[in-house]
Amino acid sequence: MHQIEAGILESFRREPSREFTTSDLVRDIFPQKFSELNRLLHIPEKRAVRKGYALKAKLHRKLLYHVNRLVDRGLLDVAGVQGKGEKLFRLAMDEGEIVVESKEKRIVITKQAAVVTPVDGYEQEGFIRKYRPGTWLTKHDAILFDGPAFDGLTGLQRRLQGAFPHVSDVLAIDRFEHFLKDATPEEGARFMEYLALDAHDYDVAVAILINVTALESEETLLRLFRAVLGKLPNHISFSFAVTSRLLAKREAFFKELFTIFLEAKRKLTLRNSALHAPPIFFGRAGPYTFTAADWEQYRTKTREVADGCVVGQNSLVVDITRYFQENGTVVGFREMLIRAAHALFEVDEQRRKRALDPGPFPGPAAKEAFRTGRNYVRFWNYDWAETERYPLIDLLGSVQEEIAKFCATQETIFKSCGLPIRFRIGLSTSFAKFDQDFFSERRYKKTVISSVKDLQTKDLRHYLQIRERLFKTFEGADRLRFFFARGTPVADLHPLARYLLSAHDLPCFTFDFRGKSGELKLTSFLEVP
Amino acid sequence: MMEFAAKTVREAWLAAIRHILTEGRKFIDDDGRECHEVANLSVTIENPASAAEGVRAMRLCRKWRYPSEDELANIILNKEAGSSYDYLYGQRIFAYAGTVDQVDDYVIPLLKARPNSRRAVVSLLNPALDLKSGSTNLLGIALIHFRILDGKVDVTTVIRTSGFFTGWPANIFQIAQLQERVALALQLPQGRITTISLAAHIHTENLEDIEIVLGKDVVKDAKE
Repeated sequence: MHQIEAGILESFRREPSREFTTSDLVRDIFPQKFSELNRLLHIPEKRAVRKGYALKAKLHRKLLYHVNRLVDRGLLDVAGVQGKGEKLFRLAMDEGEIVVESKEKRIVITKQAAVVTPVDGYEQEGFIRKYRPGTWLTKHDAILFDGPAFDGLTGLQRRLQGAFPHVSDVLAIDRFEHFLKDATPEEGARFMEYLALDAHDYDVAVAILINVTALESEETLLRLFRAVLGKLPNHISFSFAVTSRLLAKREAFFKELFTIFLEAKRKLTLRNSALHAPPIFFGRAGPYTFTAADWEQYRTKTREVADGCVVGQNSLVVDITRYFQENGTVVGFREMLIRAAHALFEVDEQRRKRALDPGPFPGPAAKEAFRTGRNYVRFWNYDWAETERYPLIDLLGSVQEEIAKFCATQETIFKSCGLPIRFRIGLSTSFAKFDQDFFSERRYKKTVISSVKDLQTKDLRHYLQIRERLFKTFEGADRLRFFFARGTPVADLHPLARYLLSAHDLPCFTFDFRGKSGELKLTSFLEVP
Repeated sequence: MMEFAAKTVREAWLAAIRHILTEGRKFIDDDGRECHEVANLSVTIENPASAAEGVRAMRLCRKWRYPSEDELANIILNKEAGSSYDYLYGQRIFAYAGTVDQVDDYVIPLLKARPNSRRAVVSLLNPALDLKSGSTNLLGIALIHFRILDGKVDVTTVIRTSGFFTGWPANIFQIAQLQERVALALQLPQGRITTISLAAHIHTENLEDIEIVLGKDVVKDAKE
């Protein structure tokens, strides 16, 4: 099979229910050339734009040749035409399985019957989008494994290989420091390289969570990062549970850690464990965490019997800017979110019918392992400048209360009917990677910082206060990223982290060093009003 | 004990709700919710073909999602537990403690051999599993008793606590499913279904919902 055709089928394997435009497929198959043509098209020079269009036409022609071959073979269909005559393609079946085999490759595409929900109308209008709906009944968005449940990295690796097919967004490994007692940095590096390959094959992000309080061998960890960090793809992320006191106590370690991440141009997340005990980790759809009650249940009961748990079930995102720009009202917004909650419950109902398939947690521990899962309603493009005009955070807070009430009512009704189920929905933010084609254009302004002083300006103080409130509303499931000005001294990072941990109620924040070398992308910045 | 008998589920349901709202004592339950409650309420329906009436009425309300007939039948007739439910009636009935099939290996053979027997009892509570003081998930249906009376299969069910608006329609539907299965095996028609609710209650927060599902008169009459 031609490599391009295998790539096209791979896109459909990942999202079997999706209709792809030619541009979508060009972006998937030729990612570098696609970003080059995008760059050219945005240069305000006629010659560059002409060159961009020429490249675009060339890539479309090349791709369409192979797409048409797949259409001729009966694997794909033309679903329609969009915009200025751009074709939409879909799998040529409503549900079932296609197995495409060649000498060197075997691709299995499974397509579920479409999940029909009460938000499909809002989806048509462009206000709501489901995250990977093709896997809504079969996979979980986020799963967490507990390091100490495994003897060593080999056992963990075997377990993860079995779990990847059941995950649609992110797989987290909590208390990773457990492995650093016995493993050498070389073994750790080998493990991470394999992990990166598996994560890529399954198109899943991986979050490695380290509790610094329990970290015995600082040097092993630092050596591991020195050896491997620069080679790891961005879908492997790292988060450290810390406190302000710990940061002071282990100053030398953290300074070295920041230096390694800065030099590798990587992201690093610090979670304030004094403020938020459960892990917070990030997938492509957005952040995940536990409520305090769920974390307590997991820590005291689930962890006794299961080696991990489900954290996220399904996600959908609401584009706030688009909704309000198109004359949406606050009343309508509430109604839309309640419909979203109904939709998630309907899907849960269909998922229960398949519950005999134990998925990632077979055996007697399954019940406990599934007890912590939540669905997420995520939000895109909430403009801070608008918060004065309409009380967005208050609105989200009251919506959260309504949704929590709906969940409680559902649990009560089902329990009274002899069906003791768990159904929860959390609110959170959405990342651009949730669905780049769907979202309205990001409206945030960007700002970079270089020292503690920058954070003490009136604007940034105000901004951080808003983010504190939002973290509360989202019960910790949010992300705050800091980008740094060119030439920010490494020595400034430690006081900056200490300041953020001690002066603000922020459950977590991320230092993103990718922007420092001038590679700041459209999606990479700190948002301020 | 207060007893109601009616031809259909809807009639019995209405009568019982009116009774609970007018005669029930008000109190705050363990979850902090205000209830109207009567003790030891017996409700009999003569026509088991009407068993789905309550479920269908509840599913018309758009405010919540009520369990489907499929799911309700599945959890009482299916012994496979899966991971979605904290407990499963079907598992207790057809694989009690992982081994005992109380219907196929006991009730049906017993009633085939001795049609007048009063021993055809199915027990759902498992003290070893269920009676833990910290647990809030204790089964509602505790015991089911099958008898052959007037050539038909009658069922009496003891329900520990019954949310009469939200839970009872599902319970009676589930019992009818089980009754149908036993009756088919015995090649007899389905007879009456009686539920004895040890604590039959309605939450005050549901009064508005009752008006939506069953009509304004039910609550109004109760208030008067």
